[in-house]
Amino acid sequence: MDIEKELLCQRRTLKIRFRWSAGPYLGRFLLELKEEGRLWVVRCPGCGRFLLPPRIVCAQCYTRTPEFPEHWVRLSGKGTLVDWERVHYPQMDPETGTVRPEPYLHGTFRLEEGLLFVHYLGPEDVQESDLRVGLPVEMVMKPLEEREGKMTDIHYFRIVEGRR
Amino acid sequence: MRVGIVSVAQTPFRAYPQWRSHELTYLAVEEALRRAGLPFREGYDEIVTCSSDHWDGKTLSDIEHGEVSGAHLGPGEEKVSMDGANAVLLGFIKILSGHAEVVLVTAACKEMDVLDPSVIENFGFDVPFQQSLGLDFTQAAALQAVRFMHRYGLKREDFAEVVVESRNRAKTNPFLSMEGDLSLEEILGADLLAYPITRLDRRPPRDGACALVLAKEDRARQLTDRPVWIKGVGSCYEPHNLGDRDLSEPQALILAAKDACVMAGIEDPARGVDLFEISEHFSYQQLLWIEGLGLCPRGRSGELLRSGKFDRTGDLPVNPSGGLLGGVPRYVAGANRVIEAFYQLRGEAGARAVESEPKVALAHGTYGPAGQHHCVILLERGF
Amino acid sequence: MARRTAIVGVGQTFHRSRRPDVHIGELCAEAVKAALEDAEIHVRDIQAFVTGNMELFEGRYVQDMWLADWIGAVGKPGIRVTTGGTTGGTLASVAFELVASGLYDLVLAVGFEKQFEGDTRAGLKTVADPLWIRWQTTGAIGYFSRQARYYMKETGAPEEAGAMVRVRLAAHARNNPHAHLRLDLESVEEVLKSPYLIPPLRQLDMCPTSEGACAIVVASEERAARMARRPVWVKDWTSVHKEAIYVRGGRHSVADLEMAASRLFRRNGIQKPMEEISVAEIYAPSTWAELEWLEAYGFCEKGTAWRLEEKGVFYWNREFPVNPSGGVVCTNPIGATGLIRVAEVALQLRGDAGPRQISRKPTLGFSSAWGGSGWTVAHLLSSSKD
Repeated sequence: MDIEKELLCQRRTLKIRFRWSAGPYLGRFLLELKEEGRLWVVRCPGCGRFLLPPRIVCAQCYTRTPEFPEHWVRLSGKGTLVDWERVHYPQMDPETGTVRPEPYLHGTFRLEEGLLFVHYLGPEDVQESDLRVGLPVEMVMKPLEEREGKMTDIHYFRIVEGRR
Repeated sequence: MRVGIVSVAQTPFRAYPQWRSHELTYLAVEEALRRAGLPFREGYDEIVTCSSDHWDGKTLSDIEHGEVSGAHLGPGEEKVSMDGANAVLLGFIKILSGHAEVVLVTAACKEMDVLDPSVIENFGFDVPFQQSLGLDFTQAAALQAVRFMHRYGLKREDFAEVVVESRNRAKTNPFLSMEGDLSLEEILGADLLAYPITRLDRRPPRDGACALVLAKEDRARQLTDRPVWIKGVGSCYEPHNLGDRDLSEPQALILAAKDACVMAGIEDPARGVDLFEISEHFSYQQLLWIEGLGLCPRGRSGELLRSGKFDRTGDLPVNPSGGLLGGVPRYVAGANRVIEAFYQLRGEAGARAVESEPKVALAHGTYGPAGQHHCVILLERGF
Repeated sequence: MARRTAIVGVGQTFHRSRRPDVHIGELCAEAVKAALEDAEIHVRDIQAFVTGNMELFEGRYVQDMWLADWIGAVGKPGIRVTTGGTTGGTLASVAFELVASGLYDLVLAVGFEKQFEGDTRAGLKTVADPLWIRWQTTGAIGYFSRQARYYMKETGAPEEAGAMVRVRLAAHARNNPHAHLRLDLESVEEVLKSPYLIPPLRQLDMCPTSEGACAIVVASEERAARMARRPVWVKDWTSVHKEAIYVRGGRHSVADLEMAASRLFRRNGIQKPMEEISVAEIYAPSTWAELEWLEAYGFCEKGTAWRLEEKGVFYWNREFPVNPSGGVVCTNPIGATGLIRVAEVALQLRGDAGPRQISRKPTLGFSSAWGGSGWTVAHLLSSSKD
């Protein structure tokens, strides 16, 4: 038997449509992001840590978190660059089905409130030679009319000009 | 060694556009642990979750279901991706094996988020052979129903009667959301999905979650003075090709029930069991499973149903809860049967309580096309 | 534990990036047949079955339904557990529990993946919360490139360290006819020619996508005494999960690996793991993860694994053999990967590993599986009953 040989191949595409409820925690987070252009976290009433994204229970101390707005904190959207990565291989964007042109940059940011956050590092012509750990960054939103209540309503994070 | 169920909780079953599926799990877990007086995470050694990546639309759906069950750097977690009765079975095994003393079992499904359920079911058939036919579980069920009818001369009216009964009972069950009365004629006249199954013969989709706490005997007695013991378990597969099966012969159910009964020392379920909570995803299945369990001679379940034998007040009560036709989510289904049996044995079933003060109950779950896999769990009142 | 359990048979398929010659059912049957032949029993002797894989990867729903016929489970009890990357490990744990429970004397566990049949990257991306970070498209590669960067930064390991791991694993895989990638990598320089995925992670540092299956037969003590092969005794097993990684930046926690290993070592009185354990088959999806995780399990001090790698102590014929099979970096049919670790340790403890048989006297073996949001399943196996 030749284990490399295929007699016949059948092709299928599995397409399932979902409508996902975002719930009172993530749903509120995304709604505020869309309408107000700001990030929110919930502060765990048990251990005091910020939960990003907000969620129903703190996995570490098992305290139920309250729904918006009690214990919710609005973040500044500013921080510093911690780390970045250059993606070299083409991947399908699971939201659109299109292939995102590569290479592109992901950044890890330390937000002013102390949390780590990952998003694109932009704009598209940002030069890696200009990047340094610790540079100040800020969140850039898409225009209001393009926002859909998704994480990609955030266009990218960019280095704050003039402070390099 | 004996293993007991010490507490249970479930959300009411309905549409939950306001919650995500793991948030529903959390609500059930929180309540089950509170009732058992157990602290989150420290109070139990293992977690068994039950969810489906297909219905959650997410690889590793148990990341979230496990997290809200207390799995973060705590008890081990395992996910059973089968009907929820199998999650209870694994929890039981974990305790018997000596690997855990207290186990938290959860099951959840938010199937109303899925707009193409029949596509998912279609991919439950083997791709090279049966999947191309476009079969889903309703079509497979229709084949089974027709075979059942032809073999014993049953009529659509027999199945419609199950729907009338189930809906009536469901109205007494606060966890179900079934309203209004339907006559036999209205059920027979409902939209046909695949002959003989109408829209009303099929389990309606629901969202929801449930949780159970299982414990070994000494721990169970510490946690409750009214434990319900798991006396026997069994599970079994049938062949996958529908053509390889006599669909009117629920072989896997017969073998699973036999294993469970042998373990529990019960010779005949019709005499040794006081109450049955079984998983009918379609109306005809209630009758077919009743016969598979040996509760009446073959082909006579329909007429005996009409006689009241399987009523809440009859001598062999089957699904006083309203069953799955009353609206219970997939995956939760079999675990909810165990929970309903628990309520009955503890005398906590409210308006749906059977009158016989049951001591032994049988809970049953099934999944796959036309009941390809069955799981049977026998429970006994421990006080 | 209620009853002692033992592994009395193991089997696996030949793994390739594609196994176009067989469908999923035939692939699993191949592994089951191999395990049954190893145990010298017939499938009708098996009393219960455990199956699992990555649920969404092949696009199929309720895979066990179709598999029932191909693995011989028709008319028998069966349970399906799917815990992502740890599935293979969980399959073994559940098989041990089914036997230890006293309900069954002979249980078969089979795990598989046929990744080419589906879109594995799309499948892995759906690990991410659909409403939170699914738009990010790097999946496991992003995760392990960050892990490598932090390991280098914190331990001072040079880029050659990852390449040394790769050379060792290639040497091991060449001795393993079942391994998927059996590359003639002789030098660090050759590995460093491999293209970057995301620096410093290179293509050769990362596990492949493989198609294959693995099965084991587990028996009770009484049954094991009547089997053809020398039983490999199951001492203990555990699983540890972590919360969802909503924020994926920065250094990844290895608390799950630390907790799982320390739990097993504590419960079994193991104080010097590297001395007392004679072989480790660890589920590390990249070369760099292998270094960091050997430290996390407590086999060596933080920051020292790459130094030991430099000295060659992890080779199969040296002091502490790690992944004599070639490891996950050479073979990765996900749903089977964790089970292959268990099967390999069983072979080594039996002394049946052929050209890759470790030189150390095999007494205790450690195997692990990893996946999810940083989850670890770990097993401790022994060549002796007590």
